[in-house]
Amino acid sequence: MRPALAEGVQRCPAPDRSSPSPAKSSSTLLAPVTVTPTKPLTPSHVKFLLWMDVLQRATACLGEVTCLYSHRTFALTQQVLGFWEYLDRVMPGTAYHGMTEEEIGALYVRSHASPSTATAETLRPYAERVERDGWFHPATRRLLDLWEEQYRVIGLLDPELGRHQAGRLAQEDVVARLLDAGIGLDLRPWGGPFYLDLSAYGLPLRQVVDAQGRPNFLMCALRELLLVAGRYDHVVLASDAELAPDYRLLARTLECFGMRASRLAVTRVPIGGVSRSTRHGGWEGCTLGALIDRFVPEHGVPAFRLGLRLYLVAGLGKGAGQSFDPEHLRRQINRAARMLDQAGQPGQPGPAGPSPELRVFLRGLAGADGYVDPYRLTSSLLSRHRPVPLRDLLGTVYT
Amino acid sequence: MTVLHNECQDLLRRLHDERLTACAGGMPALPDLSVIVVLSALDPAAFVTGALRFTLGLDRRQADTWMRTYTRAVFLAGNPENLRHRFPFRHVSPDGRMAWTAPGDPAAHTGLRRLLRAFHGTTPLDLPPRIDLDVPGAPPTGTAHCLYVPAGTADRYLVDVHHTIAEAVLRDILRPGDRLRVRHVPDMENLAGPPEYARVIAVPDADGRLRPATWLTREDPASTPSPPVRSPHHLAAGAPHQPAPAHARKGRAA
Repeated sequence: MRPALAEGVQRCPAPDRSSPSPAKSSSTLLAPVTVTPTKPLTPSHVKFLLWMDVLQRATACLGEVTCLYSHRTFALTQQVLGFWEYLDRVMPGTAYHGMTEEEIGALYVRSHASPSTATAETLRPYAERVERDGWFHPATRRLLDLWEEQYRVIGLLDPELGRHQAGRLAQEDVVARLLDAGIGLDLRPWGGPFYLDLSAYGLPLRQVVDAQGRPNFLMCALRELLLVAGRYDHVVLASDAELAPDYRLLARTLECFGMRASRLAVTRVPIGGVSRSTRHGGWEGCTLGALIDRFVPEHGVPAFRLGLRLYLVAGLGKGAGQSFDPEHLRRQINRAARMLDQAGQPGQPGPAGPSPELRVFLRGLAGADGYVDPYRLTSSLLSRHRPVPLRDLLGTVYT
Repeated sequence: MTVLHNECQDLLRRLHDERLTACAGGMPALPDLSVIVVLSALDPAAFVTGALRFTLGLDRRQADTWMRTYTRAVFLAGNPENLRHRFPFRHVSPDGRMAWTAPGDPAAHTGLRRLLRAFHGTTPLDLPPRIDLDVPGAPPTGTAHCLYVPAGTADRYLVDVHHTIAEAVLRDILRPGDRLRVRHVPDMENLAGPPEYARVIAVPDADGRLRPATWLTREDPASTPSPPVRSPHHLAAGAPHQPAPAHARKGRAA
């Protein structure tokens, strides 16, 4: 992973390729939407995180990959600030350090079921603390501690995922860049919002700052992306399928600044036939914590890690038709255990990096955008007809 | 002018009814038809000039059909420079920040409506006290008009001023070569009268009471307009401009 990204402000809309850039000729910035730390991790979230993890590890065998994933990015959105304001208003003085993720998640559901009384004024102090100090509410800090433990169990490449603070532009610098590039529309002088205006490309106007000056998640993403994306050969923007239209706007925006961008949308995992946001509940018993408690004591960590990937990346795949089924997950964990037995000790990459065989294999799975498709790669593990460098893959991508 | 004064209400009701007659002319209502105005900024002088040029540029058929739908206009936030290669605007302001489509039904404007959002502005506008301009299209006629517009938000300004300009042009009140003095006033108290045209709207939650949203008067060309001082009683006694019937309106070359 690239170290923390430097702060900086560049007013020129052209990509800054003169700043410190990756030494390798092929560099990729993976920029997923973050899972906001206001709720437990559900199968949809875990699927998304594992898709990103497989993509990053596999693509890193072919070139340099940096993952831009900071929880501060979207902490300024109403979704997060509104939850924090709700907690402090409805249950001030609560100690969160002993709470479970499901207990905090239940509060999140309750906050969305309650009529919102939050205003720009009541949320401003929270936004200012995030902006100034990188502050998070104690409920979110508790969730991040729980998530870190879970990330270590499932073997994410970076168990502190999201806790690093990326540099970012000031909101007004993003506004200035968009206006300079001819893709901003500013109605704030008349008491209106600020729009991202890609209508010249046939894409609809999208509000990114409301009339009260509050940013939405697109503005939050642009503050980080416009600072660093120009330093990479290619940007992969990843989101869930529901956000795909907005991520199309993000990709086009980066292209307007001369960057190469592609999009990857991962579908949600329905629970009980229903695919809906975590804020509506219905995930009880299916959280990552609950799955770890259910399967790890019986099957062990290695089989759970691999089985979870086989199920959520290859098994459920790109479609959104199949509901989450713990028994299907159990079968994949059993299958993973057999694969690990067959492979013996997984092959760790040596000082020279991944083996030539593994690179050749992965290059065959990389598309024109240069990144390895997680679904194709993980499905290849299950193929009976194609030779797969199993030991290398398990040691490099799936540990 | 105390808008809730009964005598003023009579005058306002008459002005309102005249508008209905002048627009629809007793003919059946036309299907939903409107003009789309695309704006990336609101400059009052450019907006008034653009509305004049656009309306004067309509041909007779377009003018009649638009008048019969009460000069309906939809104001969308957008940058005409980004759109003019894809959408055939009828008029674009010289600075490229405002554009007008020809009157059309909803299907004709689906593309623009899909791409753009309503131009909403809720902050009281910072307006210059006065704008003086000539109605384009002819040498000076020596006729002058004064248009009073109250302070307000962009939402209100766009709708009220656009209806006023469009209908005053289509009713031959504002003619090419006339002088137009726009006066942005704090409120609509003590207006000079009688008006040639006034946009009259209902007072919210006031049991059908009306108030003037704009007020257009004929001015003596030799004089500079003095501060309006006339009383509501004087206003009520004045005879407003008589509109030309819809079928007698003069057609204009495109």
